[in-house]
Amino acid sequence: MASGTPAQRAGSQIAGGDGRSRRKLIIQFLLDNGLFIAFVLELILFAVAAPDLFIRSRTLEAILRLSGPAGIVLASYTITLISGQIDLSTAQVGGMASLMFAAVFQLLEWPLGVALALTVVLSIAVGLLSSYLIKQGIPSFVSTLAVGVVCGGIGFLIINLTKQPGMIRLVRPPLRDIANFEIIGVPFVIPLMFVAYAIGWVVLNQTRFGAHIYAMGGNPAAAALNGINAIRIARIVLVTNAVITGMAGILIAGRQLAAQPGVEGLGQSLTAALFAGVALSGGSGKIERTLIGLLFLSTLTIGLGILNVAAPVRQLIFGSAFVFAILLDSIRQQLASR
Amino acid sequence: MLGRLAHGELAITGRRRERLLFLMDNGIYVVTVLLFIVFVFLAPYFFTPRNLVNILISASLAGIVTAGYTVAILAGQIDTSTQGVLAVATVTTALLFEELGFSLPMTVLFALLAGIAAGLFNGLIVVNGKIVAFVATLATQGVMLAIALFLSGGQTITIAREGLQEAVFIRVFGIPSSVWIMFFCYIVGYVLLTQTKLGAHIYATGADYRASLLSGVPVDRVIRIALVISALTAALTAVLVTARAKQSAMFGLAIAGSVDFVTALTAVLLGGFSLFGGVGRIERNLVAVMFLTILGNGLQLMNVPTGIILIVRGFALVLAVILSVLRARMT
Amino acid sequence: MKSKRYLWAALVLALAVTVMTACETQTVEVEVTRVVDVTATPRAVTFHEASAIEEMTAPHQCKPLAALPTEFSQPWRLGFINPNLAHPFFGEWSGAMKTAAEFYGVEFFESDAAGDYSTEPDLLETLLLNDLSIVGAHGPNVYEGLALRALDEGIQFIGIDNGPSEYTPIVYGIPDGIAGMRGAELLVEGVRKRQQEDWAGHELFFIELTHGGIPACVTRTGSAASTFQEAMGLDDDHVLMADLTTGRSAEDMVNDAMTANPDGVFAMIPCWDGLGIGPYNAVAEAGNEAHVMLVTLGGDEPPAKFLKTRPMGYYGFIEFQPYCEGWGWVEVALATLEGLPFETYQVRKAITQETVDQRYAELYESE
Repeated sequence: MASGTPAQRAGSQIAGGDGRSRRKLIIQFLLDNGLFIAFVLELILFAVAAPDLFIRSRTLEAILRLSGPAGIVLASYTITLISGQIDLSTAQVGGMASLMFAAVFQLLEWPLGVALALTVVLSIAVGLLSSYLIKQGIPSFVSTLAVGVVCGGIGFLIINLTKQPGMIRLVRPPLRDIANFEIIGVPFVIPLMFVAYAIGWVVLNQTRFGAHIYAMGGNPAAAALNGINAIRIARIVLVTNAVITGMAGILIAGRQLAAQPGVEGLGQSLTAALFAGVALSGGSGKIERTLIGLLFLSTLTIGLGILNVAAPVRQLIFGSAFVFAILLDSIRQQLASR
Repeated sequence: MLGRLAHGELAITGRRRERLLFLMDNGIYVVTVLLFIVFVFLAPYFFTPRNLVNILISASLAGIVTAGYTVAILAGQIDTSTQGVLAVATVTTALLFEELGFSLPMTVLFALLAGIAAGLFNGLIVVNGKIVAFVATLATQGVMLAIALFLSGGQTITIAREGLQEAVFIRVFGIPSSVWIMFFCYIVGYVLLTQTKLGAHIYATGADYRASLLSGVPVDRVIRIALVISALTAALTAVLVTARAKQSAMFGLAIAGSVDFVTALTAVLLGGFSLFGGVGRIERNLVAVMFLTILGNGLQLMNVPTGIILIVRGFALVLAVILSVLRARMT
Repeated sequence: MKSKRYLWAALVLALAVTVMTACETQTVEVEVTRVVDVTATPRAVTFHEASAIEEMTAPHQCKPLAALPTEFSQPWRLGFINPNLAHPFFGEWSGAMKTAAEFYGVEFFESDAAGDYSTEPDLLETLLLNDLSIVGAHGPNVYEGLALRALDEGIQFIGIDNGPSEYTPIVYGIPDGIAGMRGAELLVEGVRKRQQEDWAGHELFFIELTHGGIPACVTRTGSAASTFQEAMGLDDDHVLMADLTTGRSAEDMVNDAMTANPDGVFAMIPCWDGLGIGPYNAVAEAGNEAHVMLVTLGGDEPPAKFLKTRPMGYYGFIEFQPYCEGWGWVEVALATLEGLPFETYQVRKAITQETVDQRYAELYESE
């Protein structure tokens, strides 16, 4: 990864003359809102293709349900990425946390609060370990990858030691009732997700801490000169992310009634954030756009399911959507940096 | 970009610094030999001709893919699409040879061409799309897996027709072709990187993209070539893996019997490479692959539980990373 | 202000939600009731003949698991999440289910997980939108969650090959434990024969080829291992583990395990056919074919094709008869909805080198 391969090459190719500024503005507007426009188009497309099945509140609920706990992780993941830290350990941290919780709550039959507290402590430890490695100068991308492998190993070790068949069944009440607790007729995870994005938006846009996160992600050297404590921010962000990931892992396990070493849905966080135009290099990205991206992907899953699209085609649509998203975003950045 | 926190300088100078640097540069040799000796005592039948061949085979399949991966890393491109290329190439091999009755040379040729096509596709997105390789290849991998899924129908294709394993996986002096191919790849890689202009360009591009661009290095072409080499070695590995198992190495969306991103990355870091490109020597990488293979092989011989193997692997990666960063800070 | 744009976005979104909800209130009358009335006696007096079904399912000749009426009390709607339509084994299920649903005159909805079980909860959400009467899935990791999720919607869940669940009274298909046991029994038969011949006096090992991340695999191969261990009187040191989750290839792990015991002979059962056939070929390539014996589980076309080439140590496979299994699922689902009795799916065919040619001709060369 050479210093600034894409960003610094930016610009020179896409020229916009003075007389065409209006056209340029329109293009700029379209690119800036590309994801949102795509989302609206997608809704229209599915609504036309399958009006009976798609245009129903039940479908909407299914889409939101799908966005669920992984969507909450994605909110904190977006902030992590904006601060310049790439966390590759989410799937394993979620898995390890759910297994730890399951071992204590289901197998040892300790009280719910104690099991939760222990899991939170473990998640904090993971976040601290990652940020410690980063403090030593190891890029987040590599340190979290390593921490992820270790967490995956601990997950399997819990399974080996408790002699469980590849997972721990998680059926002890009242966990599932809590995981499926409903507010205004929908599982509480759905409103909670919107609350998470609202909090994320406030933190990023209305607080000094948020400004520091953007500053640190965008230009760490300048941020350091301005007295921003990079390590402290990295620590807070990574620990928060690990704790939220751990909690989401428990929620997912609680809904599936089984805890497993890796939680696939959580591992998709990086892809989903990149899809929504958060830069891998940090410093740019909008949490509200991540939310739209998340809804776009969930709608795509449900919509393609309703249309009963064959699996390879489904995989191809998701793959190409990702390629298009990052290409559009690259063009957008090049225009913006001029 | 990925390592902006990593560039603090370490204030060690003089002879001590030289000694430390020497140790770090050659540490992987020392560690590998030490690990080998440990297993000779700990693991039964570790030091037998048969097991040494086992290690070589296992290392060869991981090693070939890592050789190409190394070239991409040196050019500053982290290629995360290895699994996607493997999938496309293994399915192509099995499909053409078993289902469509292609001759062996044609099968191999088309499988390798599929790899080159995948590499060119990566290059297109990285260079023309101006997207960081890590992100671009993450995206293209999704498309490649879709294509492989479409071609194979998600099923493992068993090769009942004779001739693939017998011809591709031949043993010379009791050592299978894959091992010889691996050594060949590393010799070619060594010559390419140290003796040719292209090699110098690859190092330059990885070390400083802008400076290289300004001094007239055809950086875009270099990146394209590096990505093609990376994909090509993955395709070559896929052909060998398919021939050895006599079946395509794809089950649903899972790729079996291959090298994952974590292994390749660990090997590259252990070999003293910098993730930021421009630093590293390919022959050290070969030793790093050996180190990882010996680790896996020895633990398997001792019948150690899965969880422990994974944890050991994780710590090997941590160790590799620490070495890599220390080195980066001292130079 | 950039945030203004998103204010607009939120407004449009809210509008979309309102429209959706409005449309919903219009369609609410047409919604099919999902109340399952098990006490109602079927109005039909005629039942399907068993012989008609055997004829319909030729060449598989499945035995019906329930006597079903020619007319049902309600227009039932069945749903099923197929784990991987492209896979020949699960593809057979799909074909059988569709044909059976047509035969019995009910609607059938299917979605495809394409080999990725983690998508099953998502696919269930989509499938549930079809106002189903009953739903099923092959969800070895998450089936209890799926069953409970279906119950939330007031729908019964009938899994396939999952084993018992707390949330559905019906266990259907081949439970993984029993599958492993059957495989081990066949392997014991093969090993005993070999012990009379060239394996006499050699130390015997069992290699469990599994994937620790897939609970169904752990159960399946675990039961095979314990059955084999008990039948052959092996101690724990002679049961070796090759687990894909370590990140190493099955081929390498089997070669290593065999190297650690150079005079031993090795019996293996993998979680699925391909996981055993790959290492078998690698062992043969290394010149140790005489020291290994393999029995695989599943038995669709690729392993049958391989067995036809008579590999020395590939004793055979347990054929799960996917077509009849899929067909039977539809019958069990309909019998449950109608409140009628049904039998459990029992046919387990062991295919060896002696029987494979005939079986292959029956299944794949009949057309």
